[in-house]
Amino acid sequence: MILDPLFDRWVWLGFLGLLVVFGIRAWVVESTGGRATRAPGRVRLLTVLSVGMVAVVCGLLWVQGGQQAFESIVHRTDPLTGLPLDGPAVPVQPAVAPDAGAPAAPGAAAPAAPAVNPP
Amino acid sequence: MPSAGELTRARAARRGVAVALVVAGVVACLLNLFDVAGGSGLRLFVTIGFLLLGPGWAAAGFLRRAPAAHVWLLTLGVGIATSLLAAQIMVSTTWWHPDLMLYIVTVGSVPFLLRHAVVAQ
Amino acid sequence: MTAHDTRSNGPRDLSASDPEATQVMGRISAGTVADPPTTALPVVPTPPAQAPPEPGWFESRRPLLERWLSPVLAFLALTMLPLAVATTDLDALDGWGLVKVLGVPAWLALLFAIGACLTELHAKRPRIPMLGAATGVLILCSTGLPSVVEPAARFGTSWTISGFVDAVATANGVPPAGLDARFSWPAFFAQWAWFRDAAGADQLDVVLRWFPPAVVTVWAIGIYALARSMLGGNRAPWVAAWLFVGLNWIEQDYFSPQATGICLLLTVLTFALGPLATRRTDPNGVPGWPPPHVGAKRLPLWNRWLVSAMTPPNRPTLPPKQLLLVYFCAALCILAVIPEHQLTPFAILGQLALLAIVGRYRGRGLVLIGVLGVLVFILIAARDVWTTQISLFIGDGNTGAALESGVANRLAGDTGQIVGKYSRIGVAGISYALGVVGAFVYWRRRRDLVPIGLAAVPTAFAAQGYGGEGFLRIVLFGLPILTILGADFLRFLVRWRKWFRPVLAVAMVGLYVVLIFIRGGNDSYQTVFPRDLALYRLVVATTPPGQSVIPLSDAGPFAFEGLTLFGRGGGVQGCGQIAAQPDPVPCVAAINADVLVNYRSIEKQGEHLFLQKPGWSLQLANTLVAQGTYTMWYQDPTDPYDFVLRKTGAPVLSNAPAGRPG
Repeated sequence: MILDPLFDRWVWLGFLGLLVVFGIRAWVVESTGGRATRAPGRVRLLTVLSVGMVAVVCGLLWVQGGQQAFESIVHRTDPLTGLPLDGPAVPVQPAVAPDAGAPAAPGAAAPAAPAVNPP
Repeated sequence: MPSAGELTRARAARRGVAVALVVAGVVACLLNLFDVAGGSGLRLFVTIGFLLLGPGWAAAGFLRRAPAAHVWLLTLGVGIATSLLAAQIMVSTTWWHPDLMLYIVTVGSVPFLLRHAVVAQ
Repeated sequence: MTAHDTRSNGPRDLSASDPEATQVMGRISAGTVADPPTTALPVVPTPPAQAPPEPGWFESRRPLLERWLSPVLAFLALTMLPLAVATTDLDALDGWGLVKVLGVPAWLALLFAIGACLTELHAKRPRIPMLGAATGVLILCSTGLPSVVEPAARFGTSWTISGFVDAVATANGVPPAGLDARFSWPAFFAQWAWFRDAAGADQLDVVLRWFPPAVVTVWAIGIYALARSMLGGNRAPWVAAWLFVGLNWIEQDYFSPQATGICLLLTVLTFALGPLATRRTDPNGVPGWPPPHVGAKRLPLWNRWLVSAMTPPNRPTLPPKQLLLVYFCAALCILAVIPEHQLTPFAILGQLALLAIVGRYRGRGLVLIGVLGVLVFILIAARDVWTTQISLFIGDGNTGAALESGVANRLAGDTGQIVGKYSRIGVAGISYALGVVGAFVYWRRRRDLVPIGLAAVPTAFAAQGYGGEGFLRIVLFGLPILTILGADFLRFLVRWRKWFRPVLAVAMVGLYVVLIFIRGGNDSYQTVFPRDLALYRLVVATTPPGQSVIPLSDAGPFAFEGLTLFGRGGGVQGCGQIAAQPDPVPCVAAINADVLVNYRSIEKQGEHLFLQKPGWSLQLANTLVAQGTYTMWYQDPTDPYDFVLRKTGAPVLSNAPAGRPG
């Protein structure tokens, strides 16, 4: 599945909106919580809005890679190829040792493989 | 409960820290602006010290009647967090301007630090 | 009812039942009851007033000692440090590490520092600033000892991370792609690249050197603050901080993202368990809901759990604006740690989630913010990682292999190395034993098992495909709570039997000696000298970009500059570390690097960890030179093991002197 990187900005904006709504709700709850035994109307409204924002962010995440990642994790498959991760190993061709006397290829700077075990 | 004398000393210390951080922030910006002592230990120390402590003290200075350990921990935590997020924003937006971000953090912190220098909790 | 009965029955004769009450009641009812017979008591001469015993030497001088002994000891500890530098012979390092080469002044510094801490703790009124200063000196004389006696930052990994910072700084804030998965969490590298650029510096050598004692000081502040909230008292929180420093052999305090990640974790945890702390209590603040009436049978356990779970937590006593300030700061810390480090957010969120479930803090939305933040960051910002290395997140399902790589495969080396590694396992075991016993003491006192649950949360990392390093992190993330519980146990001991005080003082000395032994155990191949740094900088300055530059092993400073300029070899099956090979020559041929770099630390690593013969690296160099495949391009005049081999005929930039000095 090809994801559109331009769509990422909506996820970030959605998350930013969620933080703002959570912040407003915390402000209202803490400012009024000591005086009312039952949640006032605006707190209930903000709670509904918070839940809505969570749903929006989750939906955006699901569209923008979440579904792909979820299926990969559940089925233990490669996210890009869809092949199983625990499948039988592909037989490795015996490596041919380079001739020690041969001249080095120009610019033989093979980038290191990405670290598998970051700290 | 801390005694009145201890509270007074604590307030004086908090004022002193706020003033020192204001000075550090201004000095770091001036050294950066005029590119003085580039790479020297003093400039590195002042800049890192302000960026790690200045924003944190600006927030933690609002804590009332908190033990010194809580104040310092919040200072360091918020200072580290602010600088991490500021740096991450510069990376994510590919807007790499270390000098401007230093000025922005200074401008954002110094008013609160000045407030804490006058009204210590 | 009681008052009515008293009035209706009038005074009663209580002499039969309560002889003490008789005298009192008799005086009240003197008009109705006969006086008891009296007896003239003989006059007993009072003994001559004895003069109070002369105070002993110690008692008479106690105020003076309590005022000055701790500062004097701390000052003595500091004065010993320059002498420790002068008397430590780093060239004599072997498999036993730093403990064998430290001079007497270094040990005296440690003893004085411990003495400063304990004398202040023993005072009638311990002074918080003095305890803080003594703790700082203790950290400098224990955890910070390598920073003091060694001329540069040790630990090759810290230099590698410095190279990551350099890569971000030189690329104007663009992390290199496809080079290392750690660049997908770039906040720490970008943070220090920002600091570096803003200060006009081009390297962070001094920061790297002093980073471990500085960051452990921050951790100690966090432990103290957390222990204040959990244990209370004036002394136990300090003991918790010292215990944490003494048990912290894990050495994740070098210049690294996880080191600052722990600072953020402790900040969040301290405020969750301190100012934001709540309990599920009845409206009167009584925890656990008393039985409905006196003598009633206790409700079944499941019923009590249900009542507890349905009871809303009470509110913290902080004013609303203070609560909001703490929420804001905690959210900031959680959000900042997400792009900084892979594991720390999970440790924070796991512990916060546990506290939220049992209703122990106000602000449960922080967990939701953190979880969504992690999801957004991983799915969007770290897309390259999960699409190409999904096993990094879901594990390979082989915990046994991870355990083997984490523990069993590390048990290698000469006698000193083996003893050091078993000591690490032993100290980790002691940490957990102290934590479990402390949890029992804590439960007896407060009927609360949540803290030990917090220490257990990080064990979930064992199921993750993080490799052997994951087990170090499990201990690291659990250690703060374990040490605080352990301090509760130690407090119980000294309250139970006074003679435990001197015993524990001696144990503290022993613990710190073991700490220096364990942390310095690998210093024969972790010590970095300024000549090593100069050598590598010379290589960077003279090697054309695109060539492959590799060290003979991962010990020593490497790739701290020019990370993206040169290839780093790799990819050759079975040749991960040349120094570990019984016959390194075939691996050198297979890797076919343009430049080979060696330091004394690599020579020592081969000798003490991989059991190579002494001088193996020089012998390898001579073999390669004799074969004609490499030439000895540079050899340090003061240390023959610091050398650079270049492939015969490989081009060299001419802006630096070449040749074999000396």
